[in-house]
Amino acid sequence: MRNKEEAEALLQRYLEDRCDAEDSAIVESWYNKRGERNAVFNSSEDLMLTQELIWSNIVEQAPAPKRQLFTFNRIVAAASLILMLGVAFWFYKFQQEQNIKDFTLSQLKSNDIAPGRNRATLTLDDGKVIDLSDAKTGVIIDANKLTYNDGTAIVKTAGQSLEEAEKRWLTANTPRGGQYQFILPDGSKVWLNAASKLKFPSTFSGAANREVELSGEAYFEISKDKKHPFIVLSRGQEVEVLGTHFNINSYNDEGDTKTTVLEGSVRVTLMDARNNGTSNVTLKINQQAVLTGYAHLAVKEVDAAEIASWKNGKFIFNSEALGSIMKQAERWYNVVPVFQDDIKDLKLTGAISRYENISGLIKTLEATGEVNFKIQGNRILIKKAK
Amino acid sequence: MIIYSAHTDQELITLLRKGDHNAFTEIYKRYWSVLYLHARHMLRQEDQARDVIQEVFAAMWNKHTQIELTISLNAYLYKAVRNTILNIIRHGKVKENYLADLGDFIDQEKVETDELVRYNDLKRLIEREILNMPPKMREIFEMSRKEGLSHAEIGARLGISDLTVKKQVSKAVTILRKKFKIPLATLIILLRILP
Repeated sequence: MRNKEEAEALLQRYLEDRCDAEDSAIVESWYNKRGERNAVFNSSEDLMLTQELIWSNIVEQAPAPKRQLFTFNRIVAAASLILMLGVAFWFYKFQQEQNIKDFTLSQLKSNDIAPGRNRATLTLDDGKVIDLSDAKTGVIIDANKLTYNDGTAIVKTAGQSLEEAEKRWLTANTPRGGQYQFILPDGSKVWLNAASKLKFPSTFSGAANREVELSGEAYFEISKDKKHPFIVLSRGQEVEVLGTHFNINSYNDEGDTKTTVLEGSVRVTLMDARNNGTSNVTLKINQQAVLTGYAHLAVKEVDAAEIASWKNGKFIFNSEALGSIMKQAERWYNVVPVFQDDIKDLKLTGAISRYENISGLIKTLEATGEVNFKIQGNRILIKKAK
Repeated sequence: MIIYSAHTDQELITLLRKGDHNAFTEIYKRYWSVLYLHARHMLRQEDQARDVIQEVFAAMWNKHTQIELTISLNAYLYKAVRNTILNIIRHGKVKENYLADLGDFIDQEKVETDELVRYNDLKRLIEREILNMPPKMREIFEMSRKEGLSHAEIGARLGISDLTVKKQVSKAVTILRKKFKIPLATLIILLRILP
């Protein structure tokens, strides 16, 4: 009861514009959530008629605006279209000339690109796809239900598809410009980076191993369970762990698969068993296994925290090849890098928050004095600094 | 002759302040459908949704000389529609249910509200329609409109022909136009405001 009164008071304050930021946020997020919960409104309504109907009511209520909604005849419409195309063309030309003339960071502002955010889908084994809320940061998978990490249910899927405690395969997908966190049935945590895919079962019980499949990049914090090794399959390799923290980077469009350990140890095994002798390595903290192609496995010492910094919302580059930096930008900002000079191997150093617009990253990289960028729509043109 | 559909929102507001009827008509044509479909989705009643849109636009005209926008036009309209809907909810028949629901929400959801309210405008509504497209079509459409890739570039990336890409893009545009019942020029403007 107290709740209802509080709610009414809050709503009233909100509508009278007397709310502070936090209270406004509560009302607005509740409103958004109601919208998400509502089912699709099916209607055969003729929207053209509705448009006219509402307009005639507006005109009645506020007598000043012109009564005719659609005044122009066909000839005028045709003429206006031609004129519009002309204007559009002129704008295009004008913009191009501007771009060619001079390109400074201040101009960048109007032409910036926002960072990625929490976005992902979950595909059930019956092919059903659930869009995960961009208002949440993660999902908890349990043998018989799916919930967001703040305890709220994922709409209408829980009871339906995961009811029986039998094993079902789920696939989590993040798009370019998306990331998401998943808590697996054994309590292990997985952070999925942009443009990545993780396949896992709804329950691990009954199986000897806890097995998942990854393509793209993910950071794992695995719960300890010595009896049931946790195994990550990715392109060309298998990573076996008992309980530890590690990062796997295995994008199809990049040559190497990199496994990096932040805590504990893991064993990396080549799936191409023809290579006797080097077919598996055990990695310790701050070691990274680099699998090139399907056959060549090398181990090197790295700063593991730096490699997993994406998970904490940072880009940290320490003498990193520009080509690799731009691959990350491509996935996180959903842009297309275009190298105009051959400088993919140029090594750069810098750090910046992943939640900045792309101009922030570009400024940081330009500050090295070695490279210049230009944003053109969704393309990032990259040139050697003169 | 002035072509209103080629004006930016900012220009339309400037004209509206001076009492330009055509600017007002253009704003209505540009935004009524997205707002209406949103109101209908929230209220689940066509007549109430019509009232909301009518009220918001009539109010806008009635005070057109004083309109000072500190936020974008689409965010302004969305806010006006949301407040009107909340007002209806507050006085409506099912008020008790809504209030109980909001009451529960206040208790549970203290955290993360910042994230939730970042998407407070029409972009989200159009985005939702794009999300409802068949996956392949959506992928192609987003590459085309958001990444600005050419049909040939998309074709190369996905390993399909230019023609298939072109067909999918035009199908997607048709779906959006049907859904929002708006002219092509308006659709292009709306798509440009997508993130």
